[in-house]
Amino acid sequence: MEMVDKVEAIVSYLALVGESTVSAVAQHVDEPVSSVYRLLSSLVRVGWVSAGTRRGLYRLGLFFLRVGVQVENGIDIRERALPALRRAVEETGQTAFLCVRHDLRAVCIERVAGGDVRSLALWVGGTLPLVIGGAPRALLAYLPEEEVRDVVERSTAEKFAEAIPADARAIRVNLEAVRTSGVSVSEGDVTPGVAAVGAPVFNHRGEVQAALSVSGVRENILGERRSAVIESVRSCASEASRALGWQGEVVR
Amino acid sequence: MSPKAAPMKVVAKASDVIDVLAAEGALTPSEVAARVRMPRSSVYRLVDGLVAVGLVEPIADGRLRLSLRWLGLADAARRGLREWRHADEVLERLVEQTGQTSYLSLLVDERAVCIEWRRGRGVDVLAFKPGLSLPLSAGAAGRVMLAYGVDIDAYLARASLPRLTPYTVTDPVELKRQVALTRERGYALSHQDVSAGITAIGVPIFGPNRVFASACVSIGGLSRAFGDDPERFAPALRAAADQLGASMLTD
Repeated sequence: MEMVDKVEAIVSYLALVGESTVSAVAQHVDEPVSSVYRLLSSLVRVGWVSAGTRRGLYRLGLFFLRVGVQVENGIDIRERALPALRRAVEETGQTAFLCVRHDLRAVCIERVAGGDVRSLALWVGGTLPLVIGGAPRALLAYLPEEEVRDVVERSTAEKFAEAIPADARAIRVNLEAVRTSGVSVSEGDVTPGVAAVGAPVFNHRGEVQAALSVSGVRENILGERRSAVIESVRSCASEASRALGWQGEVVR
Repeated sequence: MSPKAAPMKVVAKASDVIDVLAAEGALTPSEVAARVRMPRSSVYRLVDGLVAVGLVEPIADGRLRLSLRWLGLADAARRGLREWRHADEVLERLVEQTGQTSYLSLLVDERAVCIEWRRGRGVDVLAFKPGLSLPLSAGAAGRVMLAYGVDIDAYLARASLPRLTPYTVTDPVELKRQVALTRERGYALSHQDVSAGITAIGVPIFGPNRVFASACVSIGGLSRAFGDDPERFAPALRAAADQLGASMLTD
């Protein structure tokens, strides 16, 4: 539809430049000033365009702010991450998990079974402290600096059902290593003999929103196929991030 | 430019289609057609156009939804609000000082629209859903707008006062009283009138020449975190409002 093409061209241009005169818009979309003027009037009427910071300037309207928040609120992380989780299972043969944060813990919100699941503790709805494991530590490592400090401090003071490291400094050094490599590798710190590899999942603003991991008996995760497993988790977590609109930049 | 003239039909219908998908998430083409009251063939043509330019996307089960492009467009729209370009820094500082989620809201079409926010400490992704827009009778920002920027009698003559929670003000006399109190104190308090268990406090932002900027900076969070004296946050809010007002571009 030609009209829709023109509207989109105007919207894209204003998104790019912030604000513009009618004639600059007309020039860029290669349309006569009079028809662009008429189109802009209509777009102002529906809130897609509004007056800019000075007379004669136009910019994107508040319609986009409202719709953007509605779209963001409507994103179902589980649904968007599912293809990436399935690929992780396919590539590693192990069970894949998706976790989000809840205060000092990571909540598993999706799990796709692969391989031998008998030894795996985490089910959908289950939780682990953020300071241990694959997905939880991948999540924690990419929170803003102060939040990391706060979580680690409170966690070492807290009485968890699970065994966690006592040394706050050691935990933070460990998290630094997660950020350097981009993955968290967990070996027996949740269940003896069980290992996990986790990586962060980012939203369109570059903030960590979730973590994706695979877990299984140590031999299947950290044995011969160790680097292939790590690479798969990294790649699948990136895919999940892109499914949330991630553009590649990380913001902490 | 006469904003009162009716928009071109295609623009109006495209906006309706986007609105309906934004509100409901994912719909089949015929569901869209039913909601925007357009003949199916016209809707399909319009939707095809929107898909072709990447604003709408078809998903596996034949339904349509808005693409993730709308996230980037919202960010672009926010960037275009150059008079508020320092909002993220100021809100970040407010979060640091108070630990609460902080918001910048504007008065748009007699509603308080949140245009920027920063998540408070320890607020989880699952629980965190910033308000989109609220009627002026609910929430801290709305009462600030009514106290400093809106003729309350004219507003009451036009607006209905919806009930969002058992605490939402639906009585015009009570609303006027609260607006007067807001003006007296210089801040608005919202206690569970938008969401259960949530308290908020907001202050007006004044731009150049001490003119009310039709904007409000507020913080909101769990009522128990605010305790008995939410007004202890007022100085930090005032400072944030001053910073925001000072950095506004003059016309």
